[in-house]
Amino acid sequence: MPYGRKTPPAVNLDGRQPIEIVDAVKSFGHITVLRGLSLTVGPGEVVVLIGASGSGKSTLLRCIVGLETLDAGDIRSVGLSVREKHNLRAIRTHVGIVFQQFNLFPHLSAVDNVTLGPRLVLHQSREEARAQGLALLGRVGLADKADSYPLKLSGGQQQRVAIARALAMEPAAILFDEVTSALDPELVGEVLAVMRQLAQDGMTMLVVSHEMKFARDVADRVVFIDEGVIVEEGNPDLIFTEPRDPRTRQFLRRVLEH
Amino acid sequence: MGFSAVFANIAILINGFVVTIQLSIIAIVLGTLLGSLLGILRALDFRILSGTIRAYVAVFRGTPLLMQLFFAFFGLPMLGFDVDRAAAAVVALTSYSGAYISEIVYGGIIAVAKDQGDAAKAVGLSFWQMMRFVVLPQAMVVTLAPLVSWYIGVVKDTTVASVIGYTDLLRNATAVVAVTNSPFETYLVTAGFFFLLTVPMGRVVAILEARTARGWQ
Repeated sequence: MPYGRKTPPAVNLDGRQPIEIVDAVKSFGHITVLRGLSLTVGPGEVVVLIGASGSGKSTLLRCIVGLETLDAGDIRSVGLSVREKHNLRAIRTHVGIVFQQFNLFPHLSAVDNVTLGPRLVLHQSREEARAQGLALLGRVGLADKADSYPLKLSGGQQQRVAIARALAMEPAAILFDEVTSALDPELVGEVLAVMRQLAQDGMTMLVVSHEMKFARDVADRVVFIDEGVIVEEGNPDLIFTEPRDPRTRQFLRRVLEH
Repeated sequence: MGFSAVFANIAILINGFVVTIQLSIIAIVLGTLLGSLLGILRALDFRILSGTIRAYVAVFRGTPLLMQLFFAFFGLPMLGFDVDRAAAAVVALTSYSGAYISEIVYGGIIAVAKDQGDAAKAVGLSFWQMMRFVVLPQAMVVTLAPLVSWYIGVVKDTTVASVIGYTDLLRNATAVVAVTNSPFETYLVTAGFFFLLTVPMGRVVAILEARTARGWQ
């Protein structure tokens, strides 16, 4: 079960849902990755997607922020449809994403990585942006690394900078695409700790992860995806202890046996 | 005969050297502008545009520079263009360099583009913001060493202009040979002039390659 929520979400959503996925269909060539998937993430909710590789989880996240285009169906972020190209930049300011490979800008320092978006897109002044950037880096535990360059940081530190970068856009929701999968095991904890704190602070989060303990502790809802559709979803305790669908049971058996 | 005769005519070589430098600089600047434009346009990945640029590159990489120069000098006037030797040399060198440089620039961009493009788009940057603040700064570092390497080639390629009678370093060197009857000594000194340009440029390339290998520190 999740911790008690301390603060409500900061963004005024006006009754709109942060993320609404409706019958999403996406193919790459002959391979259909998403087969009519529907999912809604409510304000302050932490939803964890689990499933085998290739089940479409990462593709779904990329479709939400328009890095891939849907073949059919729709995704609305804070009411904006991803099918209308002119919405994409606005959607991307409302929904942040943190990638598995961090994807920090190597030619910019940590704080410059964090402030680039706010300065160019939110039109913050250099001072404003830097102040916010330093505060966010402090929040992820990296205030002393503000002027360091990504290559000098460990994987865990880079990923925390990436989270700060996403937070800097003051999003309504943040997507996490297997953000600890590329990390050495001893660095995973520091990133999960930041994510736990974010969840407790009321951030709306859609997380693709293999970290089952994290899902169990932090998620409001766990969603099992297989072959491009939702097979089963619900309360994490229920899903992990009494999965109803045989495919869920099989997946959990394989994963939890490590 | 001999070196003394060559040095007696050194002014002719120096004049030619100056012309070679001028031609090199113009060809490098214009070729870089053209090549960068083509490389960036190609990175946009619009089907017809990319196809056109690829065809352009195939034409100018698939034919000899000297032939392209003849085309410019002898062929263009038939289409009504008034082309003197200098202009023909500039046109040929620019279009030729533009083709190669567009490949260098395009290669640099796509080497950087995918993940960095995703990250830039993810924070809401527009296409041009992405190019200006994220992709091109990184691509430029990757392309700098290959570019300067190419420039060394341009300096040497300017000598094709001597074939149509343009008074560059090589053309003037052949004139000095006629006067002094000392081809060996003349061309040795001429080589020295070329080294004055190519050796420092080679040093720059080595430095750039070392810095690129070091990455962003």
